[in-house]
Amino acid sequence: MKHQPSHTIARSCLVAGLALVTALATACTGGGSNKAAAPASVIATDASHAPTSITVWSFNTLAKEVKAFQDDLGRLHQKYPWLTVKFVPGKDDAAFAKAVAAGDPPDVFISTAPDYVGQFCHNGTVLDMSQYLKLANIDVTKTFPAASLVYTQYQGKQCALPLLTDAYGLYYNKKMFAAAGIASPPKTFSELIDDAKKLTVKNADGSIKTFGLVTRTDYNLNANIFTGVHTNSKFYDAAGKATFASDPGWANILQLDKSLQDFYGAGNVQKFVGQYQPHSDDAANAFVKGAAAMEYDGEWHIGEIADEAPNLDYGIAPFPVPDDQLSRYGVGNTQGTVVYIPSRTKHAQEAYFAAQQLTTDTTFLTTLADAVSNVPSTFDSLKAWDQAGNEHWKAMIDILTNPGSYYKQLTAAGAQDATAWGTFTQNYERGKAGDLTAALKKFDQQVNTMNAQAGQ
Amino acid sequence: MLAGPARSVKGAEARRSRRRRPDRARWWVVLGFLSPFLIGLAVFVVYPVLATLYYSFTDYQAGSYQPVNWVGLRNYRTMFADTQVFWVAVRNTVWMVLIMVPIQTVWAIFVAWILTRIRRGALVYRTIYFLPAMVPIVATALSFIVMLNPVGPLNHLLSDVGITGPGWFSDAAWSKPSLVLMALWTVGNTMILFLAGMLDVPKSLYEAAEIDGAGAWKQFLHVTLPGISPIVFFSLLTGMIYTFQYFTEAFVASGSANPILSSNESIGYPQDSLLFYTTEIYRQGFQYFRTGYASAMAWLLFLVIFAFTLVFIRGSRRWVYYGGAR
Repeated sequence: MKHQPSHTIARSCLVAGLALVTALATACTGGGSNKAAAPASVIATDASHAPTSITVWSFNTLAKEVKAFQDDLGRLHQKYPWLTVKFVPGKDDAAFAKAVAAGDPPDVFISTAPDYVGQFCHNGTVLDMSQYLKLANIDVTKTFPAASLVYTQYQGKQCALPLLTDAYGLYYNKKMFAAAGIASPPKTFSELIDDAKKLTVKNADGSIKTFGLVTRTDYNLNANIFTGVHTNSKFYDAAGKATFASDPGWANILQLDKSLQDFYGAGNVQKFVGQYQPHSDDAANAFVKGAAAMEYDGEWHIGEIADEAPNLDYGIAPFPVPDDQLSRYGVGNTQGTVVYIPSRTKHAQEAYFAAQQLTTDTTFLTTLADAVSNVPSTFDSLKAWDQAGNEHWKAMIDILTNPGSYYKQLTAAGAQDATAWGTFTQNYERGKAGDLTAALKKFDQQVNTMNAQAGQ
Repeated sequence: MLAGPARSVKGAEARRSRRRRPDRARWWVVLGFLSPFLIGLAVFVVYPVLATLYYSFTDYQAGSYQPVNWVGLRNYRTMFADTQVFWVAVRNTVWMVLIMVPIQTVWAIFVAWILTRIRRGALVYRTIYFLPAMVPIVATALSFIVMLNPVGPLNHLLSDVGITGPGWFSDAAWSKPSLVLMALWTVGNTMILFLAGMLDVPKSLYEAAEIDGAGAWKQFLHVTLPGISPIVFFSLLTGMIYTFQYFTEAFVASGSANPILSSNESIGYPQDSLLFYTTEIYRQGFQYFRTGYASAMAWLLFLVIFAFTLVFIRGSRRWVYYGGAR
């Protein structure tokens, strides 16, 4: 065997190293076109097919959730024995974006919220599933409630599918309402302010023992009160421009919040938020403990209350609307978990099978809904769900299926506009926004610039 | 026939040439052995650094298949035009640099000075004061969140003596001071340096000062402090650089005080009072996927730290005393 001189080996190593660096640098450069694979056809369940493995990523981590997913994907495997699905829990949007940027995305990604549907759709990160749905004879309008299509479609493209939905409502303590002489939950902003004041109980030293309703925007899920649905406001007009200054609904909901804060006193509200913010979903929750007579929360709180305070006598109602919009009472903010197929998956058709199975299988949807206390997301699963008749769940289903319910419009800027609005509302609450009209105009410009820079 | 000097020059060249050949071979061998490190440096340091510089002039978004466009200085201009978040992050970061770093340094000097005066059980006390520095930052942050909970142990103690404790991490007015409090608990590393420095100051200087009538305070001011000035300088400089990049404590504190919200909503909680420059970079880069903009922010931070460091080093010539150095 002939030995190579050491310097030749070293030179080879160096050249190989440089080649590796060059290759990595080339591979890591962003950009390029979207290679969305067109669906070949819908494969019959009994058709022969080469064994294929796909990967499904999800944000879910709890054992009962993971089991529900694995069971359902097992049913998919029974349907298509050649298809094996690897389920990977605990992956968030950031992990997904990094995997896409690295060129190694999963075949299906399940995200906790629709914040990025617009951004991923605009950027070509995920597939428009319309063609696959058409080939599978799935009419989304007859399969999913309209409210869930608002947050899964972007500019006519079905870039995600809903997998369970969230509805937000007003939880109220029936005993406290009766004690205050209030017969039914408030329906208008004026009634809400009056009831909140009546329900507020003070201690001898002037501090507040029980709050009627704390609406501070950064408390619990309150940010969802301010997404516009309750005043029939939308972030953007038909031309895609921000409406915060032009639509009086935005100022109206901010003033509702301010009048309640002024009534309680900012210091009292701060103490309340400080004490209860870390306990949104445990036994020390303010509503569960009786420190608040009303609370704005999502439907999963029903499950939490069932675990933590099964004897609590409470009801759920839609959040009130402005006095002059009483006919709209019943609407609410809706959103939910979404399922994406990355546009560069090597197994788009098979990934779609998994996405369809996860989003339309009634057994799975009702099982998972029970496991995580969410609302099932198809008409069929809503009918089949044994909780649908329950007083609390029915209230949430009514909000979800109300034709006036919606989620904020999606944009190419993803979650930026909602977060910026949250910052604005907090500054307003602290008196840092200055003149509201001028501040809202400035905020419009900020959001418009944000969207323009995102390419919208 | 060559003359003597000419022959000697040729001979020297030949000797050099004979030496060069094995030198060059050795150079390749050395380079070969170094290549794993060089490749790692190129792939994991040089390339990412240069890539972020390039991205900072583009609209690149991680995970996007849109073409990457060259946008010139737009990302840098956007930062300064930002009416809300960017300047909030800058203000909070500067607050920490100006308030936390000096307090941390003074506290570390004070603790070290106390430890030099303890006669019995000095080792035990040194260990006790150093131990917190060994606790991971995340664990420290979580411990403080429990202790400083509005209805937690510290507020219980305060209420026992008739004081209503604040909201600490949940109150925008108290959240940054709470982080300062946490930083004081973890000064062990710096304290050890000061302790070593103080023990290294020659005793003869103290004796001389005592003969001159200097009391404890004057001895500290005119003997101890000049003696440990290089460590003060080091502590302030590294503290400043660290605080400009302050991230983990704030990220954990915000997220834990507000567990219900998604990570992009909880960053900076409460009310953006814990929004720091690097947490904003994280949100822009990994929550909004604005890789180009986040890269520009990162480069600006680098330039600011670099400038501050240069100014600080130049300024230090006036007050840092290097005993043995010329």
